Amino acid sequence: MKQILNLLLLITATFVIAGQSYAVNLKSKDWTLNGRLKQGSSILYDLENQDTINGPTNYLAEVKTSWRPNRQWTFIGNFWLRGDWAPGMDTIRSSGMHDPTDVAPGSLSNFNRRLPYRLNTSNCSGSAVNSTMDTFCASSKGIRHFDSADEIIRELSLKYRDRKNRFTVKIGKFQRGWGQSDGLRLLDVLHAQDLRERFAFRDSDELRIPAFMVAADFNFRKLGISKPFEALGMRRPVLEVNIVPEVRHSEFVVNNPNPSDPSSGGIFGLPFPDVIDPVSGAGFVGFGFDLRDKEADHWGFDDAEYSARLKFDSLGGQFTINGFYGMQDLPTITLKGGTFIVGNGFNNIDASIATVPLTANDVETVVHGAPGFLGPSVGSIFPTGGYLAYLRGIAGVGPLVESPLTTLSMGGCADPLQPGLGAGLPCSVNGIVNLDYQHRQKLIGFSFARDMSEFKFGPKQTSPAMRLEVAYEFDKYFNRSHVNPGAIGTLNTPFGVLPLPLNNRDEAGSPALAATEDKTITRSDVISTMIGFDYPLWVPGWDTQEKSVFTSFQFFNIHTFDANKGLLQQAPYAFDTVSKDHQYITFLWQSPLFQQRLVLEGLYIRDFDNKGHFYRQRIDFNFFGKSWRPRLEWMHFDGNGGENAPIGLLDNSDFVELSITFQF
Amino acid sequence: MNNKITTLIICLFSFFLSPVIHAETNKALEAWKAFAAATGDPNHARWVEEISKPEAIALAAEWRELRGYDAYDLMEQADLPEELKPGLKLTKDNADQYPWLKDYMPLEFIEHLSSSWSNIAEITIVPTNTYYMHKGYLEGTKELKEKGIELVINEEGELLYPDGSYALMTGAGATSIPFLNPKNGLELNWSYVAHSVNTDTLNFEPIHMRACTAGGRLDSEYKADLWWWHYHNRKNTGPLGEIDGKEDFIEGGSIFFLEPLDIRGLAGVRQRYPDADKDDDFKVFIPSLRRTRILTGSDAQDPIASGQELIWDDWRAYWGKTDVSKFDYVLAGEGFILTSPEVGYIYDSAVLTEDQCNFKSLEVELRPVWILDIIDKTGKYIYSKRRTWVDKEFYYMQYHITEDPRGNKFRNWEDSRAWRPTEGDAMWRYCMVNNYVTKRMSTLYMDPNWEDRDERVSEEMFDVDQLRDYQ
Repeated sequence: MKQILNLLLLITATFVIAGQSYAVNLKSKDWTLNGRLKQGSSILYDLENQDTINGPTNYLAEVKTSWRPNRQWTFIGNFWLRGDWAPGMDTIRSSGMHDPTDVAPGSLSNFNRRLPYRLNTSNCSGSAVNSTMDTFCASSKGIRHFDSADEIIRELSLKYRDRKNRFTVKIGKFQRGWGQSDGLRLLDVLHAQDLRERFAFRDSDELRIPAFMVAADFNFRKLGISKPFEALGMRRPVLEVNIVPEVRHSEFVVNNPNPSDPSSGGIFGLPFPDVIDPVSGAGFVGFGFDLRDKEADHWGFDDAEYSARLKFDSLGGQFTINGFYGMQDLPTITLKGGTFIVGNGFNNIDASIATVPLTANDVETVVHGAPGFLGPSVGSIFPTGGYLAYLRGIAGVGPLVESPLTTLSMGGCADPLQPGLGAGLPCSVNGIVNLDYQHRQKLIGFSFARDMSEFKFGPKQTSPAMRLEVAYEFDKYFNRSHVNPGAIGTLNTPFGVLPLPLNNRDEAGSPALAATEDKTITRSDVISTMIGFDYPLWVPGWDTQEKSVFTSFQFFNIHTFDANKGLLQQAPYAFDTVSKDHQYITFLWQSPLFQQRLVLEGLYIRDFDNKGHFYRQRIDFNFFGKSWRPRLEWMHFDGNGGENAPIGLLDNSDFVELSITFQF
Repeated sequence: MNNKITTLIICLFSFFLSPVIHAETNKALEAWKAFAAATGDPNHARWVEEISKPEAIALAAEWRELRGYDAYDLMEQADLPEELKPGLKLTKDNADQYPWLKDYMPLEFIEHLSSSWSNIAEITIVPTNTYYMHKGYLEGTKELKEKGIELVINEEGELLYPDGSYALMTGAGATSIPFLNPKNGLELNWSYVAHSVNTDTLNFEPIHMRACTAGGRLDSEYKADLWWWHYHNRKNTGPLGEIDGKEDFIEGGSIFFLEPLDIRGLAGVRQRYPDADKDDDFKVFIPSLRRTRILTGSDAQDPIASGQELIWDDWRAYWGKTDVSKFDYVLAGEGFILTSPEVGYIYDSAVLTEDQCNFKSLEVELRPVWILDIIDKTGKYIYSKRRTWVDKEFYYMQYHITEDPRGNKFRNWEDSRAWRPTEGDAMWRYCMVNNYVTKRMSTLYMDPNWEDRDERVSEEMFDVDQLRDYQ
């Protein structure tokens, strides 16, 4: 409560100061100051097994100022304070760990049931001992207040323009957009994305994470070096060069129920994946994940991002040729190791009796160990075996083996198959997983936009504008969807590192991630293409139409050259495999009515390969002067229930939001 | 002593040889002096002071000589009502007393004296001015005349030099009035188009756009900085001569929205090709995308900003593209009209009420005009007809009204230029755009910036990829 009061105080102070300053602005055309205060309130209406509840309740206080003492220098500052009150309101029931009590030998649904994971709840008083209770929760504190200086400063830049217009240099924290595509990024890769509040379904200037950078534009004509370009038909060439020494990766929050590493991003957090063995159908019971970011150097020139684009006019339109040498914004996941937790069956290290560190090789061997990999068991009627062998044995698609946790603990850990065996301690394993952002992204491409004035049609004889964008990415890193860990693995034991036999078979799905990096990561070139048309539509027969309906259609094709080798879209949260040609269409329309005071805007996205649909409807009520902006926004995701990105992941995130903005 | 006598003789000789050039006054100035003395209004006194400057008097005289007339010459030839005099005040109570009013004043003005929306409480007739364009136009028009260069209009309706090159793209033709005494609608259209904005650099910092509901409530308001560049044969403001890199275009206009915040940063650059069949180059920077978008130049019928009555084709009253395949251009008549004086450089001749949706007062002056009708032949244009009263001195619109495709009165345009008598160049101070279908009143109030325009306005404003970082 105190925090909220402080926040309200800060917002009020911001606006009082801003309001005072605004009066000054009226006297100086070189200095401007604007601001806004936005509060939204929404309901989530498509939650699984849950009634309609409060959804994202985002607030935003913004101040924007600029100072332009002369035409050489421009200073811009833009500051945001934002967050979400929803974590303090209703609880969202999500799915978490697999339930160890859900076992029925011979069934293909062993451990399928997932324990609930409550999002947005700060009062996590449940006990992990009683597994059937609603015991796992997280406060979603990661999305409550974005109040660090880094989050608040959206832009702080200084721009110098050469007196003769030969070049401009802009330095500071800001963002630049590339390309012609809306929605999907092909060339618009200069900045990482902030996926925490609405995933990728928001305006792109809010989506990009600004970075400290230097951007320079060189006008070749003014510099007297345009002749060779003009000889090639490239008119008015301008080169833009960007150097970004502050390397950022995309921000998202995983709804991770692991009590040792819990996190929650609310309804737009990435849902915890349903980790199952596709062969046995069994859930990965007792397995949790500690997620570790493996980042590039935040500051410096070794991992810095470098990009350039040449802009010129040709063929009646505008071309850009782009090159980017940066870092991947989204991670691959790699197995770093694990923690064997003795004395707690729900991955809670703090509640354990003992923990044993595991290497990545250990985890791989434990998961993929062949039946009998450690020989006969001690005291059990079943031989030893790896984790997958154990699940498959229970499901009846392989020989029954002893739980590897029981084996590794020398009988200390309970085996659900054999109650009463050994000491019967609850045990679990936390896989330590790196979210690896250290891969380079290398991309070239071009864009072209042109008014197709040769093709006029419709009641007002208007023509469409065409947009084309192509990006070729070299050696993009992927997690494999199929992995064969091989015939022999290794395991650290008190007796040294032992070579042990593995299943030696192709594994798909979650098991494929439980292998060492050299086996799980691969690369492929990707070529992405977008062609789009924007058209001002004057509707035939609508005599009183005041303004054209802006329509924008886009078709995307993303061709991954080595898709047939089995690649995951975005492990482990988007578990769909990459298609050779992944196709989307988008359609945007905007129609202002009633003297353009009621503005309707719709956006439809169709993901053909994953059979996903997305629709967003915005209704702006601009009836209340220039300061008040009420907006109704509806987002509907129909992801076909799959763990496919991005629509399927947000299948239950449908909401309707009313927001009110006061601006000055 | 001999030298003094020689100097005196030379001066007298020059004076009598060039009586116009060295005139110390003109009829407009004398009329204004008398009027200002009668009203005692400091605005009127300041205006008199401005038009009394020797540079203004000399420029007026030079243009009179070039045209062969000024407004007073034309008024003297006309049979004007006795009561149509400076100082006459019109209100809803007395307008009916002047039956001749409908022949001189736009019908809409008369109606607004008693209308519930866009009401004008009082209209005052002020003395007629003598207007002229800037020295570059004077020079260019004279050059064409002296060199015997007759600009021609081809079958596509394009304005060309005799060698077939585009007149507005190079040399004197780019800064001149091609037809001082137009013989038909197309010639009148081109003289009007050639007037352009009558300055090499237009610079509004800022322009306020406001729109009111039929109920008289302000419901749409924008603030923007706006620029316009004449690209060729610049004579009036630096950079002089040609604008480097703009060889394909005649002129360009650009805008950067400052308020309201939700569209702050929206920037657009629109540039005109000389080819009749080539649509404008139109690029916008959309802040919510942080990207430049090419929009089709064929859609000039949408409002510049939501809720405003101002469409791209109506900017400066008429920025439609001359296209004889789509429009007929008809010289429909000539005469006089009472409209706002171009005194915006010194004072506001139109004063809004507190609610910004009505007028406390409006000044008008009598102007000699040609009447130009631009008639849509396709049935697909937003206006079936534009009627423009083009000033015979200024070659700019004095009043403008359109009809929708059903023949209903649609939008008007009435403005007061910020015209500098000493230079002859102009920007704008105020515009009224009323929609007679929806009964919405829009106004534009501009703060023209005259200082450091050569430094302050640069290519940055006409390249949307640079304009995005303007403020």
